[in-house]
Amino acid sequence: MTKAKKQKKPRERGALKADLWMLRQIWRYSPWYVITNVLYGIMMGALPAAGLLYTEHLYNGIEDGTVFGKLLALVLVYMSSLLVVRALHTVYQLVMLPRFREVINRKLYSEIFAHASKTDLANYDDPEFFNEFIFSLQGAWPHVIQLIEGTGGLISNAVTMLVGTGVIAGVSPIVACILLASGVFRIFISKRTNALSKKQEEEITPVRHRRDYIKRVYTTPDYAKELRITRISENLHDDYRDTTEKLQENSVRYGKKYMFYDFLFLLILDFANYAVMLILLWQMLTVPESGVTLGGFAVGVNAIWSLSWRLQEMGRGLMAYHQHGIFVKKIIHFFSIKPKIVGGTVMTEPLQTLRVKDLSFVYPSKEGEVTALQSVDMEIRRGEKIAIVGYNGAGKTTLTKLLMRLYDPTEGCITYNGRDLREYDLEDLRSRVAAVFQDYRIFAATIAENVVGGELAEGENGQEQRKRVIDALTKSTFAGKLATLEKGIDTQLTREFEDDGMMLSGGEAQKVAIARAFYQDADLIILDEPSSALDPNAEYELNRALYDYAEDKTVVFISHRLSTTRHADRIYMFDGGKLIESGSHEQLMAQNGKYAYMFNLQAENYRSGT
Amino acid sequence: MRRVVQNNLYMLKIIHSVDPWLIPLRLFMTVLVSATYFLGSTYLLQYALNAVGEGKGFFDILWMAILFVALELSADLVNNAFWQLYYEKRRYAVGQQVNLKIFAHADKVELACYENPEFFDKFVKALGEADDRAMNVLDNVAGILWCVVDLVLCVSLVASVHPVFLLFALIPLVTIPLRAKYQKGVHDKDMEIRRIDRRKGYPHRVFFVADYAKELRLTAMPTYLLKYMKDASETCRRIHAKKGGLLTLLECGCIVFGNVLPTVLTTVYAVWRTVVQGLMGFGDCFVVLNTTMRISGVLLDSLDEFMNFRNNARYIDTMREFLEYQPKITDGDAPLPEGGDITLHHVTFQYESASAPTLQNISMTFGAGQRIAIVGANGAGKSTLVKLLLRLYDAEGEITYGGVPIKSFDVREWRDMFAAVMQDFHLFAVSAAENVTLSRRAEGDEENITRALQSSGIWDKLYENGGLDACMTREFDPAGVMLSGGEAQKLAIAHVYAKKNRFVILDEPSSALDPIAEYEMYRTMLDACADCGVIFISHRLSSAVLADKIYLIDGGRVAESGTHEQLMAHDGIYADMFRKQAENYQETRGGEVSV
Repeated sequence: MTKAKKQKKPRERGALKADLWMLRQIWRYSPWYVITNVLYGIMMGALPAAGLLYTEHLYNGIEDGTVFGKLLALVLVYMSSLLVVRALHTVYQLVMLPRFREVINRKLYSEIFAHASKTDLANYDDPEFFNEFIFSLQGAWPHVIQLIEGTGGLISNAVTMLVGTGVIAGVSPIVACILLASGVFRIFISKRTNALSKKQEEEITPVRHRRDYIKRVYTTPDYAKELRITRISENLHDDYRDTTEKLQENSVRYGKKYMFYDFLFLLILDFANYAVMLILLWQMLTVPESGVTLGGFAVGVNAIWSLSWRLQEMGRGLMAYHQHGIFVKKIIHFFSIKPKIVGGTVMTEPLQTLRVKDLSFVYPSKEGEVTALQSVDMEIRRGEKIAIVGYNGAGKTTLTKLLMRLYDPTEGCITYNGRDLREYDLEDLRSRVAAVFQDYRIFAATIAENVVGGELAEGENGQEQRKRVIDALTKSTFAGKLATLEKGIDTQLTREFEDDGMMLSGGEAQKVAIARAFYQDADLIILDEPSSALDPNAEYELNRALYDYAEDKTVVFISHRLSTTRHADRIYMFDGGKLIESGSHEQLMAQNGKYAYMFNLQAENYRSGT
Repeated sequence: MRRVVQNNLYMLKIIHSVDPWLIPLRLFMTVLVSATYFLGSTYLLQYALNAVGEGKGFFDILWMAILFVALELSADLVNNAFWQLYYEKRRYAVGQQVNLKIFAHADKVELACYENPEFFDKFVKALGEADDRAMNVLDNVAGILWCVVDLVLCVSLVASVHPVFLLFALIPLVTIPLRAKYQKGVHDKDMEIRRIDRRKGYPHRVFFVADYAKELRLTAMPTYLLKYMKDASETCRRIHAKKGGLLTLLECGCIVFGNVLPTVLTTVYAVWRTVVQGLMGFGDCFVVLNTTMRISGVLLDSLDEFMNFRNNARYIDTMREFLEYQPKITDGDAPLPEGGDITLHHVTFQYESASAPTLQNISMTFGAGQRIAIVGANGAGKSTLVKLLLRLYDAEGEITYGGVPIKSFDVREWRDMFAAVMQDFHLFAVSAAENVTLSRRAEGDEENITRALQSSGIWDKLYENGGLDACMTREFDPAGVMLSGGEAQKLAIAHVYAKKNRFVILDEPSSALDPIAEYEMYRTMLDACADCGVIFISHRLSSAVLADKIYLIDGGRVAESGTHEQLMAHDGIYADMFRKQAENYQETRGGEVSV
């Protein structure tokens, strides 16, 4: 136990330091958000304190038989100031706060996103990166807000506490002590229950996760077919019942512990309340020299609730900084991840040769390293059509990612016009390359924006861009579909934002993705399984288009269908991360190795069929 | 109004069916706690202060106080035990009851419902409500009860002092229209904001998801998305600024009439009666000041509670509409014939949202034990045809099995006859074995499942990663098995081998497989399914060659049909398609293709 405590201390300090860092950022985003929160806290803290003073004066006035006019004035003054404060409070909550939050949210997440898109792709292969960062970055938002608004709340509670305790101590020091003591006790108890609920939460989270998954399966239309044609729904229902049982067991097990603490909590609360009341009564009735008056009694009774509750809130508020810190530390850590893939300063010339020299690539992973490519040598010259073929998992896709510098080689290098890729300006280099990935994504934007890969320019340039977009879509054989669209290239894709957004079929989406590559007018076009979702006719047309339009371009394509690779200038055959055969189709067929085997296998039925 | 009552009762009945004691116990606890709370917080003070006024001694009051403490503590203890040991557990049980009800119904409604945005929206909302709505209704009833108890006690207390104060307690009721307007304003604002939030959430979904990571690094999309986020954020700010003013005014109105004014009146009048007229004791004065405003608070609370009933009813309406929807794909009671052909007689089908039929006047036969290939361009209607066979949709015309219309069979029984691997199949985040059986595991089925996995060529990979019980995907287990597209397809195909089928449907079963794996898949599949009908859709016509019969679908009609040889001889669309694919596979570069 003591050991655990010792370990805890330095971590807490780290959390506070993180909090301070976050405060500085928030100050940078919007200093007024910070300033107004402090002022608001002071104002809201003064109000209940003033309320206690008011109560005391009012009842003392009643007891002393003060002139009615004076009491009336007291009531009116207090009530009108109450009105003003509450009006200000409303304005702050309803008008100002939401707008401040909006600003902070946008600025913070813009920075996070901008940083995220600069980090290395390799990070995304690491599941820990996801669990650690993505999850916490998304969950950090309430903590960021609470860091400021909680501080405002803390200030408010502190003001009330200080003034309030002073007022009560003036009436009866003993009562002030009891109130404080009961508050402190309760802080300890709630600390225990907090720890308990945190533990419970940890136990429950995986169970909830499973439940959410089941619901997600049901609410994702993609799964609807499987749910109907198989009996998997029975398994899901069983799973759901199982989660309920676990949750119930958990709730009772923890319920017993909570019950103990809750009861202790109420015991202290009730005893303190009654004790305060009885002590005040006793002093008022039997100890005249204590000076406790009706006003004092009223203040004491009213304060039981407000003050001890505030003390508890303060405790909670202070503890929250630790929690905030944990999340903020994740943000700090995230920003401190420096991309390993950084560009050089050399600007690219048009591609002449691309050489892969003795290249190896190893995916770092938890379970051990996975060698994806091993001692690969290749040469690609301007204008060549290069095919990369091989079994699933042969390392073909990894190679294309290396060509774009989404990864850097573990060993060996890739040279562009004789110079290492790493010496070139990254953005400039990538602008020379256009890629269509196997798992390409369509964005929730218009067709044109998807093809351009960003926003279209205004005015004349925009018109020019639009022409090129249509041109690119025509080359990727999307023109037929385009002609049927009312809004043409301004058609919004996906139902993300608009219920009538266009849902493209797999083949159509692939064509839009391919148009991206055409639009970019890059020197090197990389196509990873460009025709996997296309039917034979569409595939045939697309291949034709590729060869026609990409005449002077260098094209590297990966395909399972060896018919599409046949006319490549050179074919590289990969197996288990190694380059095993290379040469033209004729050479490889003559070699009668793996390529020839694979080709013949696919060709068999076609040959016998004609 | 009747609907409001009915809907809330509907939920209470569900709770009652889970545990008949839950409702009465919950209500009893409410009365118990509210009554003791009133006694301790209000009545005791009045008693004590008045006792002081009447010159009673401290100890008279002390006994009373001890009695109240004991009462309050025991009520707390009982209440606490109720919540922690009893209520929570039942809450989960009720949630499960509602959820399973919705799941079961979702399994039954036809697939077309998922394509109807309105219906789908209802379904999602219903499911969103399933966990808590029933208990919310009970909370609501308890809330009303609390208000009633508190109101009765407070009113009688104040009335016993001086009934005029009750009038002051009624003043806040004039703010009801203001509050209604305020709530509507907040609701409207939230709705507007939520629409934008959906947009603001998009960058979160894109930037933080690995799927998009590559595109974000290679295009200018990040800049676009950030600008997009900024615009959305500006819009939110404008909405807050625009709507905030009115809301503030309304809220201030509520503060003046709901709080400040009645408090001033009550205070001044109470002070007047106590100090000037001397008609009230200190205790009375104190109680009146503390209780009058509480009465108006409770009154307004109870109004909110009533509003909540209406709110509940709206949500429950959505849920009931979903649950009471009669599925259009209905069960029949005819027994399945021992075997036979599946025959389509002039089948026409049009998707609800489509402007033209996807399939028109289709007549075809899937013989028992036959291998049928369906080929055609994208969008020709091939997958739709398969969905009709599985009764995911019902079409015009008739489909019969062994001469009996398939609509007269039990849907479940009918579908059990098939094993289907869809083009866009999905793996589930359950064990590998369950992904193969896609049903409850049977006792001692390990061998069968292992064999199926071996047949589909994925067993080795799974064996290394935890075998049959390996959890698929990283959804729950960070060490879960992640499969590549081709591997996932093999796992999906294993389902076919693990089950006794009369018909097997394969929709593009090899799209992610490499050539060797594809070759092996077809060979193994046709071997394993020698005695059942196989219906397969493929773009790679090399597999069509293996079929006993090929149907070429073009523009929703059967354009050509026959064996491969017949179709090649016919020299139509199929022959053209086949040649286009085959030309590059020819031994000689005859004709020197222009590609």
